[in-house]
Amino acid sequence: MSKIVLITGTSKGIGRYLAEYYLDKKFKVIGCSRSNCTLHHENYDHIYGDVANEKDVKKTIKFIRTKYGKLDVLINNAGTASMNHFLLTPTETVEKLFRVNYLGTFLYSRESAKLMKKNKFGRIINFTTVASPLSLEGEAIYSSIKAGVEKLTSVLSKELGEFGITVNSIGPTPIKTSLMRTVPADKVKALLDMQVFKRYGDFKDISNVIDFFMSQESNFITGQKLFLGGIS
Amino acid sequence: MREKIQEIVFNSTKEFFENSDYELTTSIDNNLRLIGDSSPLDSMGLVSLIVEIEESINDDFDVELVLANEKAMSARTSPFINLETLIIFIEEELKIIS
Repeated sequence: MSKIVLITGTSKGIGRYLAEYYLDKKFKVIGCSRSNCTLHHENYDHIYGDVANEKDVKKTIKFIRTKYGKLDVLINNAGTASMNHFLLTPTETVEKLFRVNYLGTFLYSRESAKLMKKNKFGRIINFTTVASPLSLEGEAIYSSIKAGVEKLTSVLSKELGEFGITVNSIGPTPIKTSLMRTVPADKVKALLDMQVFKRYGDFKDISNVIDFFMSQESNFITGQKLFLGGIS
Repeated sequence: MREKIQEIVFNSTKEFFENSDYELTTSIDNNLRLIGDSSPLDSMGLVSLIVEIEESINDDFDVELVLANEKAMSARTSPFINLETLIIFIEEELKIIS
């Protein structure tokens, strides 16, 4: 049976790319988003819902369990960022960033792991950011929430290991997506200059790491965070 | 409703013990301890059983109940003491969302 891959936030950007990438590999892909998704494929199912809504998440996992009876890979891609000086950061922004980036990752990981443990196999791949190790100014909230995702990754890897589930995270560099649209050009250049390889990341850089984390042979690799571009 | 919940919980528990390495030396009834020294389960066994029961309840009642919710975790008396306390807790939760 094909690998069953669940990707959050597939309406655009990295999530959309990953959905198409794994469909090309003949995997069964389930995606979710709140906004309209134009991806149509015989091996693709799209579930509309909020990653931070417990009922929506449980419905998605129930759909997968009913249709496929298992889930091999969860890619917690859904995320949102916001640049503000700390003193000018609205409370609502903090709540929004926490819900999408952290609560969504928490809920999807928890409910996916319940299904994965039945099969004694699972791969959970979370998204962090280079803004976390670099402690970027203007990204206090985004980077600290992503640091929380890194710690969640680390602890989950220990708690879920006995069920055959690995949990790892990838930290991309800036990539030309809508997430980067609002970041001033000089800030992006300064960020790229901090990397060993001073270029934007490509979608392929991300799928390369995810391929590695999700492979059957990576059953000895868990609790790790891998940053792109030479950031550590 | 209580009888239906009890049937689901008992069946899930029976299935769980049949498919796990945990040894059950008593019968499956309301008094089966889930936590404490007299429970046949360790902490991970309890986690797995709760997950199994939650899934069965959600399927049979077509709901999205989370058994390990804030109410359960902060209750003065844990609903996870034995199967009877768990069944009562599930009944209460189903009444709230129905």
